[in-house]
Amino acid sequence: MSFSREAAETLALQVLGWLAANDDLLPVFLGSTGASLADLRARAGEPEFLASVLDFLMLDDAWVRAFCDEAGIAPDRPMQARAALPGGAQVHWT
Amino acid sequence: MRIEAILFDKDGTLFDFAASWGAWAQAFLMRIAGGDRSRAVRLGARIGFDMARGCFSPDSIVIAGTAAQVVEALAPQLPEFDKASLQALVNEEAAAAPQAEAVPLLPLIDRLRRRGLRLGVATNDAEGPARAHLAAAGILDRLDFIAGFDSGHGAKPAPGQLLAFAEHVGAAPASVAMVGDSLHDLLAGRAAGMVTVGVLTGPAPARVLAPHADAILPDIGHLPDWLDGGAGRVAEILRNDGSN
Repeated sequence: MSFSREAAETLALQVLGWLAANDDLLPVFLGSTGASLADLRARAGEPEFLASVLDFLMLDDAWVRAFCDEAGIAPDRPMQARAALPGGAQVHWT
Repeated sequence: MRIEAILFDKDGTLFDFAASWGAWAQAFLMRIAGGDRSRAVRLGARIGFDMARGCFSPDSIVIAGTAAQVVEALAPQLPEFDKASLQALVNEEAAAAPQAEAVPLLPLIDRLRRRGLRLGVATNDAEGPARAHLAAAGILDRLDFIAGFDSGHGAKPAPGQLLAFAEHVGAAPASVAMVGDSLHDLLAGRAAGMVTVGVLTGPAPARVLAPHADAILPDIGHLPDWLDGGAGRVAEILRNDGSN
């Protein structure tokens, strides 16, 4: 199943919420992307930022599984959502 | 604080670990086993290498240890070699091993140098093979500092090599990024008071590196973008931690 841009952004926002609640991973996400805590709210509507959220999640399959288990969705959904966001045809990090 | 210098690990960081060492280890173990495959399998098991699959376990001493430790592990099974000649053989074979660059190194190194960054390499490999690998990639003369486990500064996860680099280039440890693919790189970086950057071109998954990393990047090719964005953020976090 493919994603609309809107559905992909909704899923990425869920991932952002999951990251923000994870005290161990949040600082590494911020340190890796250059985002500040203020950016999490201010940039949450930007497709490019949401793409970087999915890129970070997909650095480790275990993180993808943990998120998808918690969200109750199939483990290939984040990858499909990533493809619907900017740079998704060929995944870039930043 | 701005990042003024970057210290790289070699295997799994500058060079892709699996692409470089899997085939090499199979050939090397067959050679020291005298062509006896079952003996090569047993020797491989002592250093955390699976001959059949051609891959290392994440806790292999080839990954986390030094070349001297590899010799110590192999020597009891190889009575026909003395340790000095075994070490020489390991170094010679390692120096000749073709290295797969994680990303094209020369353009990346030049790009980082144009930013005014001082650059070095700290490896638990011996310095001789390390220099051979860096020369083969054409970047040896562009590095300010190269240390192996045998260069007199100790080996990771101790911070000796890292602090020697910081002193050599005249940079405060907090303004140096230690970039590596394994836990011992990041532990050494933390012990030295440096910014730690994990990359995923070695055997360790992101979840293993994350607790000890200020940033995780897919590979070193993302460093220029990270320096533009993430590095400043890390420095800000560290500064706030220091003032609280």
